[in-house]
Amino acid sequence: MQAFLKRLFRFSLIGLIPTVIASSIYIYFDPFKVLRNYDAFVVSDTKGMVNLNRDFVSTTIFNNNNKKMKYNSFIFGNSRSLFYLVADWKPHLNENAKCFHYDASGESLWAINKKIEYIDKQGNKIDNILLILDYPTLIQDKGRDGHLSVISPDLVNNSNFFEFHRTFFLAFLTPKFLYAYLDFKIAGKIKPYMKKGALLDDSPRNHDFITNELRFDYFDTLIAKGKYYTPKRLEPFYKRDTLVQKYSPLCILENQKAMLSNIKSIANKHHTQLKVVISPLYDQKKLNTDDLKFLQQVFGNSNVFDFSGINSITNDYRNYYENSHYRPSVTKEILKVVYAK
Amino acid sequence: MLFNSLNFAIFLPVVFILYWFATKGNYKVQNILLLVSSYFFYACWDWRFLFLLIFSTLLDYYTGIKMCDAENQKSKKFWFWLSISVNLGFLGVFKYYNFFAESFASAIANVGIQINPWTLKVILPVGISFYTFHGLSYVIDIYKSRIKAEKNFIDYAVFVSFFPLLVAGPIERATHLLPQIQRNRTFDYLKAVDGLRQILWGLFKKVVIADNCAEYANQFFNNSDDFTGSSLFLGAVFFTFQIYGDFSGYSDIALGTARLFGIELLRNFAFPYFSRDIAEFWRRWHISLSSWFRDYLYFPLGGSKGGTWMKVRNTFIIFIVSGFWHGANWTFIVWGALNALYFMPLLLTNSNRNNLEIVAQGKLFPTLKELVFMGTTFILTVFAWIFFRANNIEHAFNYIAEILSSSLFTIPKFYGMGKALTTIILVCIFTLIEWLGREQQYALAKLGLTWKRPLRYAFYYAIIVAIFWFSGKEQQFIYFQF
Repeated sequence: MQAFLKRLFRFSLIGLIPTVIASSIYIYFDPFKVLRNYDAFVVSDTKGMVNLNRDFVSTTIFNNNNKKMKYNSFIFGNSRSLFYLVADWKPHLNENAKCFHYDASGESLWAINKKIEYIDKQGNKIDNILLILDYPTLIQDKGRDGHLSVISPDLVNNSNFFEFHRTFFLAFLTPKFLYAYLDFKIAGKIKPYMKKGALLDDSPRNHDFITNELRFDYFDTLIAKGKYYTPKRLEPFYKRDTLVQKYSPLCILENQKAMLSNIKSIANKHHTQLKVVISPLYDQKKLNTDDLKFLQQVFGNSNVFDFSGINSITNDYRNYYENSHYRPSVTKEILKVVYAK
Repeated sequence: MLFNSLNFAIFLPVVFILYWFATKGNYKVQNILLLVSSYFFYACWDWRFLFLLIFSTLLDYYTGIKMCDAENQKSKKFWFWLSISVNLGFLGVFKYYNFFAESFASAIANVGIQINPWTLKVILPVGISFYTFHGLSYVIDIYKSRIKAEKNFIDYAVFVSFFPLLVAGPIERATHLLPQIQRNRTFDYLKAVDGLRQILWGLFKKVVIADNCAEYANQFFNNSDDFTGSSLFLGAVFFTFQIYGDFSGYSDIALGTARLFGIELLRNFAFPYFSRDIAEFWRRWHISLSSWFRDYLYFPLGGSKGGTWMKVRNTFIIFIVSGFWHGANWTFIVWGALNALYFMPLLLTNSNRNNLEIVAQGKLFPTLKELVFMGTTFILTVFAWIFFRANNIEHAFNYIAEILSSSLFTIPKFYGMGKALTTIILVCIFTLIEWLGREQQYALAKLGLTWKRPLRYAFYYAIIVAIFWFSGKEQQFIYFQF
């Protein structure tokens, strides 16, 4: 028996040594900023940074400021919703509006529903909601994996606490990440290979720690100077058939219907002005007719605005940074349509 | 408490230490500890059903003694049928009542009579099918005078509720397990190490293979209308590995855990996907259940002694009952019947016992003929599993219809294809290790034992790292629902 326990202990110890070293580095540096509480997640003058979990960042900033700010107006959606600027939205709302950008990377309808439930539970009044939806958001009726997408534990009553931290620790241990991260720490700058796989990034950005707005003004400055659309940046703009309208497959199924109805019932409770925008995606696929009908049925015809499909926005590549994200100049026009009296 | 949970990782070492250190090798004290631990383990799911388990244990314990003490056959028969009726009654109420009520309502709706069946809103007590079958085998064995009734309640209760096998088997026999419970158990270093190795392999099967395959199997089966035949076929293959990794992984953990306590449980799997025909598959898949049905149903029905018709009838009966044992759904019944159909050509040509030995024994590669037979058997089981996994019969037929359409010859497209490739690579590595270890009790039993220690340790560390690194999302064991 003693020999067995001794052997087991020795086996565990050998295995534990690298784990302890890796854990120490991880805890000390906290590369994903999920171990300690931060007021500022993005430092503007930094030479580069690890890409963070936007869901966690949004939730933490909300928690840090909510008592003081008492947010009552929210923008939900994936990274495309980042470009709906608070400065453009606020003039359409009443003057007491306290806006918050509650977006997440690769956001799912499931997570939006959780966020709205969470805000409701915190006792906030919800006066305005701007839901930025598209097919990829609507199709997701459950949480996502991956350190950039896993949902913040606060939103699910900490039920995924261990899974959440395990995800980040394992992401840290990925040879690809670990090598890039240590290289970045030593070299002090971002190298091109580090940007592959969305590990680290050095795109200039400004982060508002109150509204949680993340701005990439630098790109628009380049566009204004005519320096943005270089041949390399034009590569992702694939050719499309701009004559025949294609439709996305049906994506609002039973689970999605329940979630959307739940969102509507919370909105009803708060007498929320809720507007739904279907994003004008570069792929020019129109949201499925049945899905659109359901959204109109739940939220009302006058509150659902479909910009998907072939139209003047999606026809012009200059409305996009790449083939995924459309620009603030577009969102500003969309907001004018949405809030037109 | 799941085997692959943090709770179990704490529970097992605590019980292990107490078992070997605090009991001073007294098997009676060890049995009390095992019983208390087992009841605690079971209560972690739902303490209310613990009373059902205790009642079932008391019933079989008492009726067993009564049968042994019976002065005449009539009295013995009474106690026997009392135990059988109550055991099957519980199983019927908790597991099958709603199925029969709803099936009856829909059957009479076909003749124009509409009724609203009264259904029970109860959850299925975890492990009820397993511990009921434990009890049944014990009672039947006493009735048939194969064994004597156990007089010590603690010993009998440990036999029924020993925590490694309590919720999903293997389905033990009193003749095999009770004698081990009734004698002194001394610590055996080699057995304990072997137990840990089997637990490690079981965890790998469950967490890496089954849970990762589950993600894609669920995606395809839950949204089967949206996918092409090729994707759906891939989904069925994913499920085929999921259910094997899940259930055989559970069994490996159960056997390994029991071995840590000096107890050997019945083997439940013997590399079934390397079978060359369906008969061999069923000698290698869920062995403890197959042999249970053989001994307590097939043989009493006459087995294969009564001519061809009798053989065919009995084979269909045991396969259909076996399907129904899995759950109250027509899909399981069709799954059982389909396996019986697969079995028929072998039965009718008396070739169901052709492949008794291990495939390519002593060789690295199988012959082309063996490979073709293994491939064919595997494909047949893949199609059978579609019925097992489908929501209903119509879903299964639609699923198969799409697979058999021209869309089978398209490139599969689905969400998360990149990660799926990792899963496919893991499944290939897993299959290779299983193939290399197919002559052992489980794949890792002797693999690497002759290697130098650093290499062997590195191999085990690699498996541990894979368990943490590649662990999938799904956590519940499939067979807990049965």
